[in-house]
Amino acid sequence: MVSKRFFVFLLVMALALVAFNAAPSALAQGGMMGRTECKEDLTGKTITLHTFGDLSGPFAPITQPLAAGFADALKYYNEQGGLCGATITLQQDDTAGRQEQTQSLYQRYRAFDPKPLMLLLYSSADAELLREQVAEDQIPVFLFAGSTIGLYGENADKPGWIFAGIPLYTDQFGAFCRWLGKAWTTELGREGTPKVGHLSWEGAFGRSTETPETTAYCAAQGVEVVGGEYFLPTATDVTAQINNLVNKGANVLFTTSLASGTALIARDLVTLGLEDEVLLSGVNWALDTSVGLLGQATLKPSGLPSTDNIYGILPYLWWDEPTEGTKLVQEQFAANQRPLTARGISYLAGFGAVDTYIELITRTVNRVGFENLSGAEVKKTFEEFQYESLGGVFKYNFSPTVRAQDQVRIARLTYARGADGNPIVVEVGGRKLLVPVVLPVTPEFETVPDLKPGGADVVK
Amino acid sequence: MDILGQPGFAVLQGLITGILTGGIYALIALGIVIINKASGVFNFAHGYMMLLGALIFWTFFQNQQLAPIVAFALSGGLLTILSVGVRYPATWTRGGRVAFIAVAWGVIGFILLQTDNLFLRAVVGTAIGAALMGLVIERLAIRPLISQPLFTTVMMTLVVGEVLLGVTQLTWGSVDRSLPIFATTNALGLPQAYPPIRIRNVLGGTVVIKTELLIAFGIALAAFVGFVLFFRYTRLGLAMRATAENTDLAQAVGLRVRAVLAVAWAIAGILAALAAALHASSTSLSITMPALALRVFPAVLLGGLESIGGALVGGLVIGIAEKLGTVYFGSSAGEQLIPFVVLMIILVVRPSGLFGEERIERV
Repeated sequence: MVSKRFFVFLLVMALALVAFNAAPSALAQGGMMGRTECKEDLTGKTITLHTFGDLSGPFAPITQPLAAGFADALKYYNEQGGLCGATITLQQDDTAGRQEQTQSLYQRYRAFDPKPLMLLLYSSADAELLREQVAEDQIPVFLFAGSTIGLYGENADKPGWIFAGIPLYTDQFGAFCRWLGKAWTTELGREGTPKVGHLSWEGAFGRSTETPETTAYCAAQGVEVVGGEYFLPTATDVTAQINNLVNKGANVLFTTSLASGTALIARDLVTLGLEDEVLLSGVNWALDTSVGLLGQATLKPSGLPSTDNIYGILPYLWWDEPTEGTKLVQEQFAANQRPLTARGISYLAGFGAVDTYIELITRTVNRVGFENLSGAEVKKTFEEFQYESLGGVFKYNFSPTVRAQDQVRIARLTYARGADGNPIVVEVGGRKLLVPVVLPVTPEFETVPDLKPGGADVVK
Repeated sequence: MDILGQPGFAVLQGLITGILTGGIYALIALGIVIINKASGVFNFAHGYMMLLGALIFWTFFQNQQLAPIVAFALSGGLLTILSVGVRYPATWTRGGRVAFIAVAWGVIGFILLQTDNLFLRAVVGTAIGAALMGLVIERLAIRPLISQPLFTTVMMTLVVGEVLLGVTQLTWGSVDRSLPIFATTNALGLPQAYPPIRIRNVLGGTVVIKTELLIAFGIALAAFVGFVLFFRYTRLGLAMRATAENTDLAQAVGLRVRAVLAVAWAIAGILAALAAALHASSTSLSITMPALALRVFPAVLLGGLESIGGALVGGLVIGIAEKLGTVYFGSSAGEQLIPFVVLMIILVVRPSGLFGEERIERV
């Protein structure tokens, strides 16, 4: 008897559960993977996403696809019901890469009434400039740049109001050294010991990876850092810089620069005939599609572009990895007729940033209510934010002390090949191109070492 | 074999690359000098003219479908402006000029409509586009400020630069582009850059000469020789020199000062596009192009603001200083400090630059 009653009870519960899940929920967020459900219906309201950065200066090649990602994601998510029913609008401005313009725009944004709930910024230099100001104004910031000073301050001991969607560049370099030390003679089949030279753009971004902490950590991994050379984005040639580093013994170059910078290094390595002797590597931006496209102007003796086989850091899933999130981004990319040149990190990051923004605000509204939304409350949400954006394309693991994403794989930039093993050639605008792809070298994500000054993995 | 503590081949490599890079710098400097010679204005928009010029080149070079039609219309516009507005060739009759326009338009149109030789099409299309750019800038921004304080015109060039940047952003966006001008096509149909020249076993290593930089240097030198001859032996060149020397006097003897100024801007536009295309062929066509002109300012000042030969020497000196500075002191010092130290030293010794004219004003 008891068992019959228990069976009926289970049946009723199961039917209730099915009915509950099947019924359309007024507060469910459409088209969104792994998203928190809304406790409050915000239909009829408007929420503005604020963002400014270098859209027409040296960073433009990556920020314009980022902006395209914002635009397409906003369009898609608004069509799917917006943020708990509220329409999301975009306030976007261009700094042209000028710090005085960044400051001027920030003055304008901080004067908005109400203040922005959050800012999306683009560059390390902007993060460093505005770090103290956003803290004072209680405006949290989200960006895809990993400057230690921007996120943790001069002494790396004050986690601030800025959160990064990629690991600190120091930690990226550390993760690369950790892999390089193990893979040098095995996977890479090289002889001797790896000796790394930094060859990067001049500025906060480019210089971020060469620190005493990273040099000591790399040494502990069996990787010697021989020094650094820094060049301007307008450089015509970097053969002198490469020669300097090679003369110091470098057999690996690590770059913290964007598209044209990385492509120039790859090109000059081929010019000097060092493409087999010296391994080219870099932070996550070195693996971008923009690098793979520019590198095709110079071919190696093998017939493949100079940028074939660049190794680097991959802190997210790549376009071609079959997941629900990448499928969604690919669909929207195609629907909005974006060009091949935009099919890189930035578009993915832009799309993911909007998804992340919606989740952040949703969680904050659920916790404090729409009327009590503020930057301070959004920051509180950030500090306990464990989230897989776009169903796992980006994974965030922030805490009261952690301000940057910390999971990476090592990957390499190469070119798509057909079943016959030959590179696939496509024609775009009357021009023949190979299709850059990024292939993970290490299959599993690993936590990056903490190499900010005083970090847990700093060698004493 | 070491030279002052650095491997000899690395020093030689730096010297050769410095000379070749200096050729491109010299070409950029020449464009700035020509405007200064014609109007006394330091053109801060030159870098932005370079960006627009290179993008025009890229558009014609990359087999864009619309470009020939647009270029065909633009070429007609340019020829009409030159013939009716500027009235060159000045001695021709109206009928002669009309016939000249018709024939030239036909020839240019034929070149621009063919797709077999993209390089020739790009050169012709860019020459037209860049000349038009210069003419439009002169007509809309510079000419209205004639007889205004010089400072106003200089400020106007800054404004023109921003406008050109906006135009390029709206039309082409900000994506970095490759511009493989000096390349063949490989088996896959991809551009294959000409291989570099390698000189082995020299001063303890191998010295590499980049072919595209060598070609760029040759073109830059040819352009210099051409302009020296132009300014020395052609009526227009002499008119430009006379106008630069004394505008009022030139006008008094019947020279058409405004037309001369327009032609100077057209030439500067072509030079900007040429230098930019050569630079982009060595690296890539990036939105950072205008900053390259800023790096060339020391070359202009070093050579002397009004000296064509000075632009060449200034460009070479700065190129060599950068590269040898990089070899000996690292790239931060080499690229950002050494050129300005060299400039400072030369200006202290010769305030008007190496080849600048020393002007003595009676008071």
